[in-house]
Amino acid sequence: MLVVILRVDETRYAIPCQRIIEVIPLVSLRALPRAPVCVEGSFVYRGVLTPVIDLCQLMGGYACPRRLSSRIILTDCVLPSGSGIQVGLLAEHVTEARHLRATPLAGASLGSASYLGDVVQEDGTLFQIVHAERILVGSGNLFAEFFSHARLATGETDRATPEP
Amino acid sequence: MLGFSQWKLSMKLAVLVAMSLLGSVIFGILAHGTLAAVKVNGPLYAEIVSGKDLIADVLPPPAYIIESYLLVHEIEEATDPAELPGLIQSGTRLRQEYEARHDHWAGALADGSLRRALVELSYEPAQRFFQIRDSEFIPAVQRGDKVNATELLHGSLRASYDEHRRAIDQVVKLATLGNSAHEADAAEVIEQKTGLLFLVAFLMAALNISLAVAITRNLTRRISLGVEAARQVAGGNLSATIYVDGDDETGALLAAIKGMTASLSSLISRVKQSSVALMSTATQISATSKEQESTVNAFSASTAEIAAAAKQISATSQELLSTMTEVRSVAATSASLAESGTVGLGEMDLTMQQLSSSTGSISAKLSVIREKANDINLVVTTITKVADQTNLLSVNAAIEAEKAGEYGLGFLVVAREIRRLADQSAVATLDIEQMVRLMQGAVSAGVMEMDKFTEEVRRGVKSVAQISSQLAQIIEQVQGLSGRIDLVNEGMRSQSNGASQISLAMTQLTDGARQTAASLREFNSATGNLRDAVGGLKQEISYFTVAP
Repeated sequence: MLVVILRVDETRYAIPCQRIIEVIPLVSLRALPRAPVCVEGSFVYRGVLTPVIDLCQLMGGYACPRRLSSRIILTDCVLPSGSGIQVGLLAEHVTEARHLRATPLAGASLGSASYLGDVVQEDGTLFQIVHAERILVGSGNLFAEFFSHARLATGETDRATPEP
Repeated sequence: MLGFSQWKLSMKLAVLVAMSLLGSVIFGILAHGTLAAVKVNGPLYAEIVSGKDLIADVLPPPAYIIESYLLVHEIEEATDPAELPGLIQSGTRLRQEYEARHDHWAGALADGSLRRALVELSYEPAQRFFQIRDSEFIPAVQRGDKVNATELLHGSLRASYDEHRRAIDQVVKLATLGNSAHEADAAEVIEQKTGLLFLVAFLMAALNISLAVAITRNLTRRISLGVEAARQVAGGNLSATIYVDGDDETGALLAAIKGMTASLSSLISRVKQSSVALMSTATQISATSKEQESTVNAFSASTAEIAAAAKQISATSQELLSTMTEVRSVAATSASLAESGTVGLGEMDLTMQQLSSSTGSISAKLSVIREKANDINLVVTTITKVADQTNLLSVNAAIEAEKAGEYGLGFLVVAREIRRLADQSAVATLDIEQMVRLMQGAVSAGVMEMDKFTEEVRRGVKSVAQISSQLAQIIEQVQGLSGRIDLVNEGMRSQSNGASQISLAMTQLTDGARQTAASLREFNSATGNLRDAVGGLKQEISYFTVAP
């Protein structure tokens, strides 16, 4: 299983490549009004308005530092309503794509959020799988409601002129 | 007349009264004699009356027409007609004379029987006579009517004349009677006036004598008062009061004596006061001169001390002179030392400036190094960016290869190799970056140090310049000092001379003070004499008694 490695607060996570569209450098983002803290802003990717979620803020509680290695991972996500949406995930140390064995470690997988998956050991290092498509789903999610409103707007702006 | 001025005033006045009485008696006798000589029925009167009687007896009286009557007769008896005009003319003149006299007496006589007899009783027949003569008789005569003329002459003319003559006789009788009465009146008046004259003479004599006595008494009293006052003043009593009555000459004399006494009294009082003041002043002068004497003695001692002090000053200034000469040589030495110091400082200044320029060039070189380091940094950044892009590319390539499935397996290997290269280049750039950063830090520190050093060098140059200018000032002042020391030397010399002169002058002053002391002693004795004189004056003045 090919995954893209990232770090949040020196802890390594892995996002499987099936859902990843592309990894791009950190571009300048347009701020979204009244958005939750972890929603960094939005930008236009190939004519589609794409919201960006800061994983450092979401999981570690700190703003992602602006470095060359801090990059946006474009993924296909699923809204609570079930429809798909293109979302950018901002994370640190996004410099490596590697193969992991699919066999997870025995025992309980830790993490309360629904998007956190199994923990895999590879070369003495622990990686926890992040299911990016589930980030916007699940009860107790801070920005689920924000995105439930945004769903209609996304559907209607499909044919609308994308923002510059 | 020498004896006259020795007479007493009463005697003089008695003589004056006696002489005036004698003159009055002589005057009375003479007046009586004259009166007796010129009195009525007196010898002169008799002579005048007899003269008048003679004229009256000789001259035909104009107020009596007897001459006219005789002329009428002459005209009547005239035989030659040539005589007639002259006679008629005489008649006319006589009538005019009669009229004139009549007018005179009519104005002169007072109303009475005499005036009536002459002016009225005698005048009427006379007028009638002249009327008949001029209107009837003379024309008849001129006609040659002798008969008528004679008739008129013996008739009416004769009657008028007689009547006139009777009136005139009466007038004569009345006039004679009036004359006798007048003579008796005159005799009586003379008798009365003579008695009155004697009475007046007696009264005047009595009045003269009494007045003379009163005046004499008055005069002598006042003069004796004045004499008494003058005697008292002469005796030294100025307090006596003098009673002044009257404003005449003697009164004025008394007032003058009084004024004189008062003036003298005030003068004496003032002289007394002045003598007292003079006495005290003399005492004061005496005391003061004694004080002055002691002061002069002290002054003499002081001047002697000053002379000694001046000698010391002279000696001290001589010593100072030698000291100043030494100071001068020391100053010259220090000036030469300062000059050599200036030369050394100049060299130091040059060195410092060279150092300053060297540090400047080092700083410039360091700046160049910094610029180069920046360039290296730029290159490193570019390499880093390339590495980053390469890394990104490898990640995306891996993802794409995974998506391609089995077809992408080979590409996945390439992507992995690319990522490894990128990672290596990134590490290299990190090393370079670190080295460059260290170099930049070293250069910055060096530049900072160089700046500090440059600043210190600049400060050193400034200090050297200051020290140099101060040294120049010191040299200048020391050089100026030489001239001043000369001046001071000169001053010292003159001061020494002056002190000697002062010493000499002080010696002279001491002599002078000694002489002044001697003079003051003489003055003291003179003051004693003055006090004695004032005492004598006071005693003399005490002779006068002054009203308080």
